[in-house]
Amino acid sequence: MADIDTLADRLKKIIPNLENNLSSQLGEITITVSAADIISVCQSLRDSEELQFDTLIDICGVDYSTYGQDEWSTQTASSTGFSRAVGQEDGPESPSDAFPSRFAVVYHLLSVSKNHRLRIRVFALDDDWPRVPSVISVWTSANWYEREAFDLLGIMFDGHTDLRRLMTDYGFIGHPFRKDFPLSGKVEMRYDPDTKRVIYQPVTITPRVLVPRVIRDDHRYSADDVPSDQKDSESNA
Amino acid sequence: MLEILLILLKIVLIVVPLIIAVAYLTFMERKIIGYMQVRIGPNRVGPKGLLQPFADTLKLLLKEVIIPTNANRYLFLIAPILSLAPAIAAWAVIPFGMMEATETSPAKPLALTNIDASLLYILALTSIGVYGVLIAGWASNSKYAFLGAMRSAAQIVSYEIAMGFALVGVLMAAQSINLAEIVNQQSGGIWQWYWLPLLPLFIIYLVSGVAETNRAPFDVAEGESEIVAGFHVEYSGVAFAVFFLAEYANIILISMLTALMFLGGWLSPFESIPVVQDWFTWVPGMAWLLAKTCFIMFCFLWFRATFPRYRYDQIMRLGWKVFIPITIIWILVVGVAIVMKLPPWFDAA
Amino acid sequence: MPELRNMTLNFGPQHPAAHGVLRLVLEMEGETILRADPHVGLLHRGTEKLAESKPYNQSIGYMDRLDYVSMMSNEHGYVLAIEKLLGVEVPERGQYIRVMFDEITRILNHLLWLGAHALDVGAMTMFLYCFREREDLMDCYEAVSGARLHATYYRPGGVARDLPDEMPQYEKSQFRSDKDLERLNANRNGSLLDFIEDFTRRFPGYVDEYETLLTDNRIWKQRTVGIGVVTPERALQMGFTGPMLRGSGIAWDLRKKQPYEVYHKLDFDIPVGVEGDSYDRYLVRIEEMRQSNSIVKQCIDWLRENKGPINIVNHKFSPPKREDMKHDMETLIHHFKLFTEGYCLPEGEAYAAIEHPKGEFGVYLISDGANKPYRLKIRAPGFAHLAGFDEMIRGHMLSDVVAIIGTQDIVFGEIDR
Repeated sequence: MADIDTLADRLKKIIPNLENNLSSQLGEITITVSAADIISVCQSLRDSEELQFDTLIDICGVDYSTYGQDEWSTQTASSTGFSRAVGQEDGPESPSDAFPSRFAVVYHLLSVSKNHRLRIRVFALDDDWPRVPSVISVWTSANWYEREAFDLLGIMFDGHTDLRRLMTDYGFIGHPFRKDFPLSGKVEMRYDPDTKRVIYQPVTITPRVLVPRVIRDDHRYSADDVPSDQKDSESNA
Repeated sequence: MLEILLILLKIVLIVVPLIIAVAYLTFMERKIIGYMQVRIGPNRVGPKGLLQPFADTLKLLLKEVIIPTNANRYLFLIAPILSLAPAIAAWAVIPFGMMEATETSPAKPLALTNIDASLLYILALTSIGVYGVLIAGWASNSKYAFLGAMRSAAQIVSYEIAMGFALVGVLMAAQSINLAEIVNQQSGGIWQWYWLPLLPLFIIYLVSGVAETNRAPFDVAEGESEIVAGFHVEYSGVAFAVFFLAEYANIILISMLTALMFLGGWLSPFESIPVVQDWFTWVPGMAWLLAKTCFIMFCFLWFRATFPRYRYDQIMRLGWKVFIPITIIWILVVGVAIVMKLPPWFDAA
Repeated sequence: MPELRNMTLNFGPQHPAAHGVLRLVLEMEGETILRADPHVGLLHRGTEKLAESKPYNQSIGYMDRLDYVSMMSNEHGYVLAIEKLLGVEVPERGQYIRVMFDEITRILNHLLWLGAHALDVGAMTMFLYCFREREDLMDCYEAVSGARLHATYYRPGGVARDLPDEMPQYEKSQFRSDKDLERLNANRNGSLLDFIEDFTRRFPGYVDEYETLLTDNRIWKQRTVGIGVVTPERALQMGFTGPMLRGSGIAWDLRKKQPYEVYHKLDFDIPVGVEGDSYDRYLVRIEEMRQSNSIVKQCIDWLRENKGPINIVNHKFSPPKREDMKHDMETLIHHFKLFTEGYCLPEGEAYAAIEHPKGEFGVYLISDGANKPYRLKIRAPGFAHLAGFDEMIRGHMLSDVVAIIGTQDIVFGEIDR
């Protein structure tokens, strides 16, 4: 596998203004690109003689709205027990402001000929109507990945010719992988003996927390095995 | 009156063993293919599973015949009958052996009717069988059934030609189109049977027979993994059972015809071998015929367990571009051989 | 004259060759396919969303249920991603066990693929032959994890437990004669390693049997040669990986190119196709089975020689011994915390990929420092393959649909997730 520093240098040569938008962690390089540039960046990544990212391995939509939020307060002593976790029914308190916008699209690229990988993150600027240009013209495999991201997170891909739902049911409403979509869904299906057909109805399951979400900031899990360079990246990530 | 009763009795004597044979052919198929596939096959109903065919029949008889809403009711129900009738009617002319000449009558074949054009009769009836398949596929009003019927029709019509040509070779060699006569012409030992002088035709007839009966590797008409069950995808219960019966009756028919026309019918394979032939004189001719038929049926099952399925267009290619030219060439060869009176096969006539 | 329309055929989701719940809408002109539109998602269970609501360890079981014919490989991708974020190193014996089971899984997967592919093309005997061998490998799964399919055997930091010293045996029953019993238990008298070794000795002969039935079979060749040809350029464009890519002539295998675990210490070859058609992919996978067999052999030899830990001893991530819990309070707390709250991963993101039997299986994990993943994305190889289905099938015939579904080695658990 090619050295990541040389890869970073090559990337900086090809893509302008990358200094602040390139980070490397755990031997993986992530670059952040603005939505407007994504097609031209991908094009040059694919066609560049030195990089040759010939394969688009994956496209992953991310909803950053509850990033860093936990359900169980660990900083202060509490007398309320488990209800600390299950009491919150009003969902996420406030959108996380660590990121420029709620939705991001993460591309994983692989160069089969040069044997290196790259991750590109693109933030979709409008939170209500997230839009990112489609890279289907660069890699054919983007087709279904973008359909999936559209289906599950509601990210619109400009220039995609066939942006239909892929995973969810025909006539499904909503985007299930958004953080404000309940785990048990919104509707359930059952056979109705009176009308003698299958009907949809609002879910009857009450959502519940089995294991609360906890963020431990006291480094109790940065075990001895964790190399020191990773602890650093942890704090400035 | 007595004559009609006698004929009816003969029909029953043919049809009832035939249906039982079909039942046990399915059982044999499941057992043999089972052993070929390192499994046991049915062994629960009755001793060694021997009553399994009856359990299956009973199950199919008791099941509801579902007629799809959009199907053509009349044609849907008539199709299985159209498919079964020719498969059984063809048995009318099959000779099962020769009756010894008595004082009152000369030696005559053991058959329901001994007509001179029996080979033509068989060809005609096996061709009619395709209508059942076609009508079933069309009447079901289902796309899979329709595709199955389409494939089946094309396939049967194509292989009918190769099969017919193969039979032309036989009738040329035997100088007769009477089945019993064809068998008698083959007498004189295993090397006199027509499989040897007509080897290409024998193989083509056998393969075309597999194709005619829609068996693997030519089972595109019901290709399970492609068009689910093809023309009979919408059939259930008795209607399905009738198709099933027709298919297996056809297998037995083709096997028996192969035995009659190429493997010397009821003639003993040890004929004209000194000493050995005397050991087997006690074996009735019919036993030889049945043994040969069973061998061919075994081949049918063997093919099914071994070969992948052909694609529809490849079957057409094989039929039209390979089989028909070969049969035509071999008919010419046989014709020349007859004219030259080539020993040891064609010097008798 | 009425207007002529092409026939649209609804292929699946209940279809014997749809490999689960594939629904294909085929636009056909006679038997020729003009366009195919796969409708997927009928098995979508939202694994990625479910994982977001559970501590890391509790999602390992979900991974088995992704590609349910190569269970342990899926787990491997997932635990590798966790390990990458945690920065832990797996003990060498644990790595060898993982590699051995990865290769057993590869054989399992390819056997099912071969059986199903041959059955689709009409050679049904292959299916049962393949399942005969799968049975032995399933027994290995069962011996080591207690489950024949959904093993949940890999853990972050190693594997759940060491290889058992004895193989479970068949027991006497009224349906089994003494002779049968002796035959069935003949290779089960030693340890699991003995059993697997016995299998690796027999297996090449079995593969020869398969090849006798198929490789030179004219019908098999007619059905696969020239069917679903993918050029190397298109294969890369469509994101193909694994045998689908190697069948097109690109020697790309993560086990060689980006080695993980102990693959760099093992000796094996990467088979590559030439034409990029179904027949080449068939040959590639057959050869992969032989190679996997030799890798398993090498692992057995190493595992016999070297004892040692199979999991990291840090009880923040791996459960403590039960006997220690009886007298040590600290250990009891560790156990309780691990199985209730789990452990938190450092903030960050990681992508870990393995050479899954079907291609590149990747897990992209975003952690915000909590005990549950913030976002988990599974990169399933079959997803990209099925996305390329339309391009592969155009101009072929209906019978080739099943041949191409077969050659793609589609399993819906991973495509729909």
